[in-house]
Amino acid sequence: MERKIIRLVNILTFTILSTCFALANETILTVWAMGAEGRKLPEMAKRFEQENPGVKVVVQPIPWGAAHEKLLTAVVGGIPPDVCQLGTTWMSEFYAMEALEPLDEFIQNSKVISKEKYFSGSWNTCVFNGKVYGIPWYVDTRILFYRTDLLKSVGYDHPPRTWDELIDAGKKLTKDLNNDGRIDRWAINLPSGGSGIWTELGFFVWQNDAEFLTEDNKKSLVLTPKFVEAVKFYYDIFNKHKIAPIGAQADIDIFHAFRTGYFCMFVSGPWMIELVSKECAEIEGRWFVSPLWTKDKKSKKYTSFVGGCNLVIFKKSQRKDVAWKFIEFMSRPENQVEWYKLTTDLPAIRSAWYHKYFDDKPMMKAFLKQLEDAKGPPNIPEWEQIAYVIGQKMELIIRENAPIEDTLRILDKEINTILEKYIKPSRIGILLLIGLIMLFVIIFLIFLRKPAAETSFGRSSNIAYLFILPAVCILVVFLFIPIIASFMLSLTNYDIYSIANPQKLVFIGIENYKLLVKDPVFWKSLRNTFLYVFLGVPLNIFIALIVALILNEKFIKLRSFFRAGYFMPVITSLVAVAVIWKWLYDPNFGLINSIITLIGLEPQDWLNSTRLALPSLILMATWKNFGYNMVIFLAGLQAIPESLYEAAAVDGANKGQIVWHITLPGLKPTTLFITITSVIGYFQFFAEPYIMTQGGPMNSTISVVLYMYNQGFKFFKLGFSSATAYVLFSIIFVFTLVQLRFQKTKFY
Amino acid sequence: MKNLDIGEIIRRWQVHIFLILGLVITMLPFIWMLSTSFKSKEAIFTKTPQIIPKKPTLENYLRIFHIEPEEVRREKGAIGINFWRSFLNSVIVAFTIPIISLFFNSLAAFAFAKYNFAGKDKIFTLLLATMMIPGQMTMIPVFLLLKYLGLLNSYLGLILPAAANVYGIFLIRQFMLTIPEDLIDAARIDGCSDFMIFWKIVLPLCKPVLATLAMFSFMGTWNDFLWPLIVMTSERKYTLTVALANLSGEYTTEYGLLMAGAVIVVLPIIIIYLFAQRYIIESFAHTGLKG
Repeated sequence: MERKIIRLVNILTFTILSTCFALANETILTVWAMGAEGRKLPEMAKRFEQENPGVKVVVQPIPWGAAHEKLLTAVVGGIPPDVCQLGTTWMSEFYAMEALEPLDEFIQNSKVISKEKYFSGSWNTCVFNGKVYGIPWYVDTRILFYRTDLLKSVGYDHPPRTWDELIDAGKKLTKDLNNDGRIDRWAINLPSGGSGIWTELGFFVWQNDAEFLTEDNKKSLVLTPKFVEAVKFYYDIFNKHKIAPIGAQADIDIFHAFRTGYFCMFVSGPWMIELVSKECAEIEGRWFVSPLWTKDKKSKKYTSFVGGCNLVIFKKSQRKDVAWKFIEFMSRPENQVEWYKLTTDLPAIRSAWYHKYFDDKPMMKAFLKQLEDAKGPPNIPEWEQIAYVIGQKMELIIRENAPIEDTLRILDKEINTILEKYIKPSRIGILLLIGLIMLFVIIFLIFLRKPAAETSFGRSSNIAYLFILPAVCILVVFLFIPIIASFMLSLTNYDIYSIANPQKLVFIGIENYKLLVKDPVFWKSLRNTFLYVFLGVPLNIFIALIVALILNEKFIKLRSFFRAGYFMPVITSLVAVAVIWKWLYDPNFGLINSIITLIGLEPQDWLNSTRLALPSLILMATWKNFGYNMVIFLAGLQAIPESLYEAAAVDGANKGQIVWHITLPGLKPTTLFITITSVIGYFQFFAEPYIMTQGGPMNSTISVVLYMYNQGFKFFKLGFSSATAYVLFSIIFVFTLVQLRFQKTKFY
Repeated sequence: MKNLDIGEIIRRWQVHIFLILGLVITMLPFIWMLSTSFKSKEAIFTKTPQIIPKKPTLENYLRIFHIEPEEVRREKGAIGINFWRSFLNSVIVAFTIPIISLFFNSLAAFAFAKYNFAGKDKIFTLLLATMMIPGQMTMIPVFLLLKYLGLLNSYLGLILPAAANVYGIFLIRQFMLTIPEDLIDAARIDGCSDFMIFWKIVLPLCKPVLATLAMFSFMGTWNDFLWPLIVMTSERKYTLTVALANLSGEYTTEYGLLMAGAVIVVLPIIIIYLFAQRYIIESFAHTGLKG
């Protein structure tokens, strides 16, 4: 018996020890990949593990929508993964943060990876200051999708090969087929605004031998004659030749539009081939793809955009050799083909394209050809900001017919300002700041003095401190300290460069606040926010009140059913709501326009119009949020004593009088509560424009919090973004004070 | 029951029709979401949208639950989401946070409503002022704090920062103000300790407001996306919304799948709402709205 136990113990010890040993020996490699890539990568990782016993690959999928935020916090927090998928346009940001490991030594000793095996445009996205910081994983380029039958019908048996042919074919294609005064066949779909417009504008710029920035990326080149010429041509497509519609970029309906011939051509990426063949099965054999056009017959440049994703190794990684092995594994031509089969991501390594798998895929040839002449945007972290202002200015030019040269001159100045980084500690600023804080403290004290003495019922007891202790502890740690920290940040130049190197972090006093006040986009966002508050809050409260009053009537059948139904928008997740509302607002196929045309009104491009986008968002927000206030109103209604109603009925008051003289006064405290919380909520309006319009068109829907969020998480200007938060805070604070004074009711 | 004249009956019918019309407007997106979740990928975008799918399919749900037929998996590939695991994570977090935060919030609310102590109004005003700072602003500092506390990638990292909140304290306090002092004094004379008064007398009276807050807190936690994504550094700790967000692609999205995911996310909230609705209507009626 005893022996048995000893043996058992021995076995157990052995197993435990050996497991520990195995665990200790196992190398864990963390890999982050986005969206679909993240979901599919484990299949490749498994094969890698088989090849490399002792290595365990942990893949973490990151949703595209929040990848920037996730990566930023990981780098700031010093806990990035070993290997990460990084979009080509994001490379420079993480390079500037000094987060990436240079790979030149690895490449020198590698049999799989070397520069010439890759497309040069794609390889260049990894190179900074002569060093290589990533390896192209898959590539992406833009080519022309065109309807062969429609082009043939206007005498073209080939896609437009030059700019002139594009215009000529375009003019012949664009038609009002049913003579209702509205064009229902457009030659081509191109963006007329938005921060992604540089891609399509870039085709014409690059094909015209122009560039956005100088080679050292220090100065803008948008005033060079060739650049101006390209912009003029792009403008003419919309406004002179009118062969592409302004607005209309909804990705939702492109298949329908292509199938029905609403668009005869569009420019898009590789993922579209499979989708178009599936979604547009009716027109099989009547469409094809082709590399882009050149400027004229003599020109050899048919440049397009190259994008895609690279694989990078983070500096903090402890397992760089294993990480490199993984990158090499993913780069092998046969694995690149496998990866294409899993995801339809185009191989980055050239030899994979000649694999027999692609032999029966004639459309792929167009991509291969295009990749040989394709370019990425300038490799600097400021590019996102520059792309943003380019989008704004192009919108002005195309939609508002702003004079091209003058607008480009302003653009030139703005780009150069973005490129000059500021680090200017200011002494006078500090004094001003102290003044500002003093002012703030004074306002605060005045506010505090008012409600004294009145709450004097209850017991004086120190046990109260014990009761508030847990909550206060948590709030101090997770609310007050972060708030103070972000206030401190607002006085510094905390941005992409000082994340990398704390020595560059400088106290700059109120410099951020000064810059903020100078930015017209901020003022626009402030104006919009006030519109959201002044239009949105009353509308929301009004509808909530009306519905609550009706639902409170005793004769309503199925009251709890209606209550639940009207509350549905509140509990439906915003992502789903956004998809459906985008469809409702769709200019061509949306329900709202269908109804409007039924009544005989002009259909509108709701979310793409500078005039209508903001009201459209307010409408959507009202729909989404009124149920919340409705429930509170319903509850407030229960609090009004029944006896008051009975007395009024005895006195012979009619319905209207009862509502006016009894219900509404009885709801006053509820209304105050709702008003204050709604005003704070609408001042922080964010989710709707973030999801629906990203603040566009032409910043007509940007809110202060969205502006702040963009500055912080898109451009990584965290100090500046904190400053915005404090300006907003002061405004809400003053506003709430005024409201309380105005209402003269004791709120709390 | 008194007799109604014809005009009154017509008016009541009109009101009901108005209500039903409104209901259609509020429910339409939800219904579309539900119907899309039963559509195959091809049938989603048609010019005249189908509210009732012509060829309804369970495929989207089966794929999310990983129980799709073998040939579907071969054709479309596994979606690669750890559904049950992330569902479990969501359940853990979304049930713990309301319970803990309700306790801490109501404890603090009790002190603010029923006691006098030095600095009470100042502390309370300060708390209210924090509601005016946009929440996005504190995200990075809190993230760094959690890192130094070693709480990243743990449930605690999600739960602790949410364990108390100003809105909750504020709402419960409003409610507690309406509880008569006499009740508390009587209990005190009977020899109840302060905590027992809170636990045995005040809290039971607050059940309705607690149910309301629990619902809102559950809803908020369940739907939260960005924060759990940032805090959790491994896929196994993802909550349901984060895991499902991976269904949207960079360029393309399978809307049927996405909507099936959205329906799954919404269902528990609907159940909880229906369950709590009775209490919610009741609770605000007592919530310090006496002017």
